[in-house]
Amino acid sequence: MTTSSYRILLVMGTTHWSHALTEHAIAEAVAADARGATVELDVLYIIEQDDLDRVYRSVGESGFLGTRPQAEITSLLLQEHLRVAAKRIEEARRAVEERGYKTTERHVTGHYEAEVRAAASTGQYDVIFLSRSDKTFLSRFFFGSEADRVARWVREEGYGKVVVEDTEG
Amino acid sequence: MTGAGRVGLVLGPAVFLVLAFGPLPEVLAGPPQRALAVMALCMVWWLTSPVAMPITSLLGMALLPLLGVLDKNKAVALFGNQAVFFVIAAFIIAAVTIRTGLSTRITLWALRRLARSEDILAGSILLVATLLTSVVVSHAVAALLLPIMMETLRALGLEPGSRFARRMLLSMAWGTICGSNLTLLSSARASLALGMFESWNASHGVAASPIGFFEYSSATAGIALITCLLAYVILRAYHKPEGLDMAPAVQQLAEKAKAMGPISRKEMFTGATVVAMVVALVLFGPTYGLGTIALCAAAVLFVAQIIRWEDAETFVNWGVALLYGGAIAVAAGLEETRAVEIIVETWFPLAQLSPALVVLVLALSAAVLTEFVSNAAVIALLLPMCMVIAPQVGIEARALVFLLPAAAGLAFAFPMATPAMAMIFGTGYLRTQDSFVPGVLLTFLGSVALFGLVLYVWPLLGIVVFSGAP
Repeated sequence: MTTSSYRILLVMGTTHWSHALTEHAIAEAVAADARGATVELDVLYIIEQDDLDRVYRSVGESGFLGTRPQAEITSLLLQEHLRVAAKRIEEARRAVEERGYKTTERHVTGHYEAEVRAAASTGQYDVIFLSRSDKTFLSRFFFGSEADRVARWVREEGYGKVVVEDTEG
Repeated sequence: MTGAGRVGLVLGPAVFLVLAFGPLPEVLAGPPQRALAVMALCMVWWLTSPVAMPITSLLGMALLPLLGVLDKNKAVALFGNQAVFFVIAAFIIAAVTIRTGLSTRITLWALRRLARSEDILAGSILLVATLLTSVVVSHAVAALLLPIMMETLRALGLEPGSRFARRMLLSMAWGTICGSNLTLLSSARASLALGMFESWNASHGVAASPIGFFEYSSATAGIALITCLLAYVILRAYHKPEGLDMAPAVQQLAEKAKAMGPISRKEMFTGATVVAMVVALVLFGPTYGLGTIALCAAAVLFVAQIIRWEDAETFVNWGVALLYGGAIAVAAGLEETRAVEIIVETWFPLAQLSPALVVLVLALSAAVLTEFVSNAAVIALLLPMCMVIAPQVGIEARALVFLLPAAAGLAFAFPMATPAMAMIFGTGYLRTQDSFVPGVLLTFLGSVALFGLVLYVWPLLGIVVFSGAP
C-alpha cells in the first residue's frame, strides 16, 4: 500500500509571526498523518527587508542622520532579526520533530510577499500557513494586508490551500 | 515608493497646476496665487514623500523665481539663514560627542549605577535619554542608545513579547522625544521655526526681536520635563514590572564601561567645547547669532582634530540644510505676496475667536499631525500660515516659535512618528498596540500641559503670548 505525501509550508517573518500559527500547522500535520499521508513540514522564515528599509529611510530622511548611522542601525537590527529567526526556527523544528514529522528550515532576507510567492509557486505545497503583519488600522484600511494579498494570489493560481491568521506578540 | 508617495506624486502637481493656472478669485490673482500653488505642491510632497523632503524644498525654491513670486537672488539668499547653519553645527556637535564616545560613557556611567530594579532602570533610561538631548540632537541620541538597549536586553535574556523589553525600548524612544523640547540643540525643528520667524520679521519690516538660546530653552524645557515624568508614570502603569533580576544588566553595562577605558583627552576636550559653546550661545547668541557661535565650536573641534571631515560627512544627512533653506524660502514666498493674509481677511474673519482656544487647537493640531509626518514638515506646513493668522486673533506671532515646535515634539503613539520610534519598532520587540494607547494618552496630556504652560508660565518668563485687542 502506498501512502500519499502531504506538504505543509509554515511561513514566519519579522513582523509575521505567532505561536498559534505553528500550533495550527502542527495540528494540520497531525490530521493529515491520521488520514495516512506522509507529512513533511517546511519552515520558511523571512527577515523582512521592507522593515529594515523603512527604518533606514526614517533615520536618514526624518532624523537627518547620515549614511554611517543609517547603516549601523540597520546592521544592528538585522543581527537581532537573525538571532530571533534562528531561535524561532529552532522552536518550530523541535515542535515538529517531537511529533516525528520530517522538517526542513531556511531563512531568507527579502520582501515578504515576493518570498511567499516564490515558495508557493514551486507548487509542492498542499497547505500554506501565513500570518498577517502587525499594522495600524489606517495602514491596513488604505493599503491592505500583504498576507491577505498573497493568500488571494495563491488561491487564484491554484497553488494549494492557504490559512491566514493574525500576528500575536 | 510607498502607496502614499504614489498618491502624492500625482496629487501634488495636480493641485499645483489648478492653483497656479486655474481660475481663482481676482483678489488672489498674480504672485499670491502662484505662491499658494508652490506651497500646496510642497505641502503634498512633504506629507506624502514621493521624493526626499530636501528635493521638494529645492523644487519649491526654484519655482518661486520662475513663477515671479520672489526675486531670483532673494529666493536663494534666504538659504543663508543663521538657523540653517545652527542646525548644521548642531549635527556636527552630535557627531563629535558620539564618535569620541563621550555620550556613551555618560550613558553607561549613569545606567550601571541606577540599574537596581526594573522601575529604576526604566526611569533612568528615560531620564538619561531626555537629558542627553540637551546638547545632542534627539535622533542622534536614539541612534546612540539603541545598541546599548539591545545589549542590555540580551544580557537580561529578554525576547520579543517581554513587557520589560517593551518598556525599556519605549523609555529610550520617548526619552529622546521628550528631550527634543529641552534646548535649541535638541531638535532641528526649533531652528527651522527660528529661521522662518527671522524671515517673517524681515518681510514685515518688524524690528528684529531675536529669540535667544536661554529664552527658548526656558520656555520649552518645562514641557520636556513634564512629559518625561508623565511618560514614566504611563509606561509604569501600562507595562508593569516582571520581577526580573537586574544583576546581568549591571554586569553587562559595567563590562562595557570598563572596555572603554579611562576618559580620553578627546572626550574631555569635546566636553569642554560643548560647555563653552552652550555658555556662549546663552551670553552672545542674540548678538552674534546662534549659527555663528555653533559653527565656531564645530570649527574648533575640526581644528583640534577631534573629528575629521570624513566622519562628519557620513554622520549627517546634509539634505537637512537644503530642506530648511528651501522651507524658509517657500514660507517667505507666502509672506511676501500676503497670500494667506488675503485668504484669511477675505473669507475667514477670525477676530471673534478666543485666542486661548486657538492656542489649544494649534497645539493639538501640531501634536496630532506630527504623529504622521516628520516634525520638521509640521513646522514647514503650519508656521507660515499660523504666523499670519495669529495676529488676527490676538496671538503674538513670536509666541508661535515656541509653541509649534514644542507641540510638534509630542509624537509618542505611532511606529513611524519619529526615527526613534521607527528604530525601536524595527527591533521586532514591539507591536503597534504597545505604544498606541499609552502614546495617545501621553500626547494628549502633553498637549494639555503645554497649554497650561503657555497660559500660566510663559507670561512669568516674559514671553508675551496674547497681544490684547486683535
